[in-house]
Amino acid sequence: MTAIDIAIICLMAVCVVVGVGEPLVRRLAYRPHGREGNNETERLLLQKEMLYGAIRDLDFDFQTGKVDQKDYAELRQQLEREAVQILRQLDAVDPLVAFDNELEQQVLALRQRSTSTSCGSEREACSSCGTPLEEDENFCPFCGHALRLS
Amino acid sequence: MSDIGGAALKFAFVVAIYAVIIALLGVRLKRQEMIRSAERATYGVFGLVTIAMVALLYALLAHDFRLQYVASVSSRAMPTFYVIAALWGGQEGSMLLWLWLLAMYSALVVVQNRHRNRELMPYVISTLMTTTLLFLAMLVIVEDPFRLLPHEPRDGQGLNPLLQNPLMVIHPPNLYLGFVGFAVPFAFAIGALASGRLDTQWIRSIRRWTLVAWLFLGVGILLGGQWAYVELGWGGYWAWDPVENASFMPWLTGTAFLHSVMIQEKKGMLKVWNMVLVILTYALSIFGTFLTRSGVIASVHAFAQSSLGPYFLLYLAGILVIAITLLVKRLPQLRSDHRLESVVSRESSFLFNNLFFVGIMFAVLWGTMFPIISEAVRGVKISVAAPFFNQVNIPLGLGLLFLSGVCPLIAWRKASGRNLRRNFLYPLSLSFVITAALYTLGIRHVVALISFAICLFVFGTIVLEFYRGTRARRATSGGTIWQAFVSLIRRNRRRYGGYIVHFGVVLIFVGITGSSAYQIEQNVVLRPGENARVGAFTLQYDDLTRMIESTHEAFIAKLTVGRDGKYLTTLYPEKRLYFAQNQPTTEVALRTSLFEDLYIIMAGFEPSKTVTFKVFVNPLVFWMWMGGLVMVMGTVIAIWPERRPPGPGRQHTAGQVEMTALQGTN
Amino acid sequence: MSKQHVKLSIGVVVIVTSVAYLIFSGATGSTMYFLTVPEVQQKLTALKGEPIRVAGKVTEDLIDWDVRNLSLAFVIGDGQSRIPVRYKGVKPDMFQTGVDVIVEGRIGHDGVLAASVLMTSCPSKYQEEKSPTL
Repeated sequence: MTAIDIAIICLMAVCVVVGVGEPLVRRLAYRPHGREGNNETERLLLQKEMLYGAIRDLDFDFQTGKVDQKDYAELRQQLEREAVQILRQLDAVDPLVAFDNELEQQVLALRQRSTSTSCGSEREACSSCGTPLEEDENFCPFCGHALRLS
Repeated sequence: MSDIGGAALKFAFVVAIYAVIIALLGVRLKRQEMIRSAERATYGVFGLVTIAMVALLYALLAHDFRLQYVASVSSRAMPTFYVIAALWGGQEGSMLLWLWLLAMYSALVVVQNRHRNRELMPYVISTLMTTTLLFLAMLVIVEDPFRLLPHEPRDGQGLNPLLQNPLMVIHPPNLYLGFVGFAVPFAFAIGALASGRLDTQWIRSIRRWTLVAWLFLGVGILLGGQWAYVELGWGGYWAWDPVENASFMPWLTGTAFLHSVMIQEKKGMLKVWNMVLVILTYALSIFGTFLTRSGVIASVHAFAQSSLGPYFLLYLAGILVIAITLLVKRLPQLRSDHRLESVVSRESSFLFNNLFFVGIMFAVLWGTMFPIISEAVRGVKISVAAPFFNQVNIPLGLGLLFLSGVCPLIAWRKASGRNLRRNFLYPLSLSFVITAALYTLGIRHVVALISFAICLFVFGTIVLEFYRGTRARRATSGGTIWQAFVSLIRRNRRRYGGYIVHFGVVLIFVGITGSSAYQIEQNVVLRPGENARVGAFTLQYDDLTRMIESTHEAFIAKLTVGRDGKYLTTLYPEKRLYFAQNQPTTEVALRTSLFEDLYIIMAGFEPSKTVTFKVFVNPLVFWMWMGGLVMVMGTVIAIWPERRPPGPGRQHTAGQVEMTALQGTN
Repeated sequence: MSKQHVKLSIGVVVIVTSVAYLIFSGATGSTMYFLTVPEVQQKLTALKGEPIRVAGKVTEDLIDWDVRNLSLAFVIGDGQSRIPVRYKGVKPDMFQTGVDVIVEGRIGHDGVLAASVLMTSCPSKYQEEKSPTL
């Protein structure tokens, strides 16, 4: 072991001890939550996320033809009810969230309208192949079945 | 330099012990400065282990043969590329690499979560540092990479030529990145259990870590298979060898976890099951490492009996006891948020797929451990050969493949019967038609037909999914087909990345089916000038030449290959004798095409230059490797971070919940 | 339990039972005793015709390697015990006197183990202390 080796080893030891020990000589406030909000808001926000995710999935499943109109309407209503409930709970817990929620409620409603529009509230699906349709189509874009007699 | 390395490891050992203790003290006594110190200690361990790695690498490159490790894995004649790779070519070095990756991951995790998961992090640090301690203990006490020889030899032994191959160079690091990677989800699981913060937050935090670990492990397994195929010369790529199984098992439970985690994220169900899977995956990783290094089960990878076994077992027992105790303690808090709405739903198909994965894992575990169990129970070792594994896993694997085709067709929560039946129709028809065509073309092997049929079915469902998704996307936001397609994948990375991964799996099944069911194996004895026919190929043996290279002596046979009367290629199977080792190696001559591989080895030759060739024709192997690539692509798409969308509600959840707002789906 | 739960449980039970059945039937098919050479010599008469797996070393006895027919004849030993082996296949590169091997096969009436599998271990990857050449 050369002198340089010993020097470097000592340097290593000193750096480690200083780096690791330095926080101990300071006084730091105990922050178990970092930038997180309080527990209850956290939980409700997560639940809201889950519900929104479920609504998104449902919309997509409907658009890709895995859920029929009846099931879709039923499930979506159920999910929307739960979402509104959560939003109300969030309002009660944290008033600052209320404004955001209002915006989100509006977006939620808008999106539903757009989904049901693109899926045709009048004519939900092609009677021949079952593809979801837009409102003003004469022929089914998928199978070519005539929809309207003009 | 080596003294510095040795000292660095010993320091790291001390600092790791400190980190474990101070992190736990800090969270118990609610002292932030202690937790901060533990974080620093984690960085410190990483720094020190890096110094040790650098020291060993330096010793290798400087040909410092005073070190026993350097002398055993490298030599002066070895190309520099392989000298560097020799860093993980032997027991001590590869353990150091394992340790370094673990230390790096630990430091990364700490940095990444500087402002998040604060309640969990002290436990995460403790857990990760405990694992680091395991390896540090083994390196410092038993397998010192810096151990010196009594006197310095003039030259080293050099790395076994079988390992001097690019595939073998990247195979261990890949595997380790996988094994070590699973330590992070495990640490978070322990953190969630210990701190009581059992909501979905910890699962979201580890999602990418799990995917990355899973990806590397999968790639590592495929690389190992490819190396065995290309280098070992027995014509196959997987032997259900205990060491192979050891890496496969955590991959299986890891895949199960990747799927069931989605259910917890969406519906808050299967919380206990996910915990079990995470713990199991990590335990299997450690167990796998133990199997590989302790020599406790005989295998072609069999290494000499080492004394590392007790360390691994003790650690494994310790973490299992702690994990299970914590899990049982928190059981009441791990109740499901929702119930299952319908058996015909994506949730339940995920559940079934989990059962298949765990079933296969259990079968592999059973077969691998049977010798030890039977010895303990009946006093006599009974071993289980490859046919067992194939007999059990082929049906299960095919069942799982079929499920992966069915699942995308089913909606979350509840699928409508009529829609489901209609969705089944197209892929099933495709499968039926093409399978019938295959049958008429002469494919009669029953299992192969079933396998191809299922592969086609799954392929059909994937195409259908992309088609419908693109069309739905176009319906909502217009644009060209291509734009809709790209935007569809962008907004649903996890789902469509996943479908691409499934497609990769289909390709792998195609490759396995072809090469297993229709392999041709033939021994051919030829004198110079003679030719023979194997399958559709004609092989003309021209000559055997002897060459001397710097590191080895080679006997090279020249084979002119023709097909259907036309010249195809020339192949050169070899037998080499490396001067540093005392045994010959066989170099496989391989010609790959999309349709089949022509695989030739020189089994031996006589002084008269009569050569015995062993010739294999392996159909469809190319698609296995292709499938692996596709899987990587799909995983990368799934991992790729979403662009953080602007919008309301962000302040409360910055960095926490992945606010994808009203964008993508899974 | 709701109707859905019942259906689910049935599905789970079916899968678990199938897995168990597959494992059981597979295990009874392809198992073999894993023995050391002395153990085989002890029970030689009982083991004739049984599929077995034996671990031992390649002894200094004559190794006959017939390249044309790919037939390798050698003796596997452990201490004083010895068993002659005839393996049909490619001679593994690492095969030589003194190497640890594992063979799978059956012992015929002539006392020779007809091996279908021959494995040599990779000694140089992870090994115990070995003195390098000087």
